Amino acid sequence: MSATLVRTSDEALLRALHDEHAHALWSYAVSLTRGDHARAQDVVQETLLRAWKTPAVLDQSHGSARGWLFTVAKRIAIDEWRSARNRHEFAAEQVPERPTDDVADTVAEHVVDRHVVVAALRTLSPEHRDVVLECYFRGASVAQAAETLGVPPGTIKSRAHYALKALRLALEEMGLSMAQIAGTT
Amino acid sequence: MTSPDPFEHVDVAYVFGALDAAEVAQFETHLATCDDCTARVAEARSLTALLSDVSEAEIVAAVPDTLLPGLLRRAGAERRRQRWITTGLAAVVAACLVTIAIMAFPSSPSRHVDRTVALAAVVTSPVKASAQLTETESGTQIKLHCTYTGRDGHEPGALYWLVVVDKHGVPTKLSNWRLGPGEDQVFEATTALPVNQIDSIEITYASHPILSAKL
Repeated sequence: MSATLVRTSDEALLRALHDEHAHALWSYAVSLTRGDHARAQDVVQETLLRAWKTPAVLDQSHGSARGWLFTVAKRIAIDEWRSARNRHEFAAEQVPERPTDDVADTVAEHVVDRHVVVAALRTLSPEHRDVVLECYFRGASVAQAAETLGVPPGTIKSRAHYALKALRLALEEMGLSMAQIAGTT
Repeated sequence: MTSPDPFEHVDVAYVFGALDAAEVAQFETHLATCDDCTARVAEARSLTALLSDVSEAEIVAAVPDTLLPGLLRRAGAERRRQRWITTGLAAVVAACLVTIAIMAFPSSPSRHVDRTVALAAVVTSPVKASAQLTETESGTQIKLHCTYTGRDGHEPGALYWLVVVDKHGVPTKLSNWRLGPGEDQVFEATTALPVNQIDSIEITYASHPILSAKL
């Protein structure tokens, strides 16, 4: 009886973790694994499993929880990459494809900025995301976006405004300050 | 405060280049006289610059359908493994404690150990515990042995509470302690409840039971 209860609540927690964070983590994991979707799934699953086993993380504010998840995902990806590389070298004794040592760190450091931006964009609400997609990525005017999305032009403007506010907040939650954001331009 | 700025929300549409020519002219005239809007536009430009390397496909790419089922499967395997370890370990600890108790008090009728229980995991946690309950004239003495065996989990020095739940389901907090990886603690606490009035003993962490033993 009690075992069943634990099971159900565990599953509910895991589902909640997945719904809340998998979308943002996914793009980040894909970048960390250089587009290897199987390994990216592994990284996201392992990250969420660790969160599930570390209740203290979930007691924190939303922002610090997300920061924790991204740090953990990166560590898992680097560890996996290193052990895969070691296995590979050991088994085949081939010359590594790339110069070794700190490649994993460099890879991870290199991709972090751009992919943190992608991950932050993926946390936007559908309303905010759609306006950014229309007006920025697809180059629509306010009037065109208003027609496509079926809302008044004034709403498009204010959604665009709040979408970037939300983006800024998401970036800050992931540890980027506005000074750093401005510095990258 | 003055009346709301009608251009307050125009910053991003302007930076995105989504305004028509008349609106651009209007807004730029306003910008020349409005520091707030100028600052907003500067910030919007910084944020927009970050988008230049990003592709639309990356933003909309869906999480694979197999991710959640795989996650639940892995959690299930983890849970079974944990439960197995917990049960095994608890049995060993309980056996040791009984042996110690018998050796320490071979013929001491006034201090007989009434019950030794291993606390079972309610949720996955790095902490294991067993308790020895002795009925006294004024209630029950609980000797708790708590070990932090997991490698990671709770933060070092996490705070735990020993809670006794009576037959009516009323919980009482008895004492608390801090524990970190690799540490263990043995201590005694007392409750006015006789052993037969105790329904269960629990260890809580962050206000949630993590270990429990029903008597």
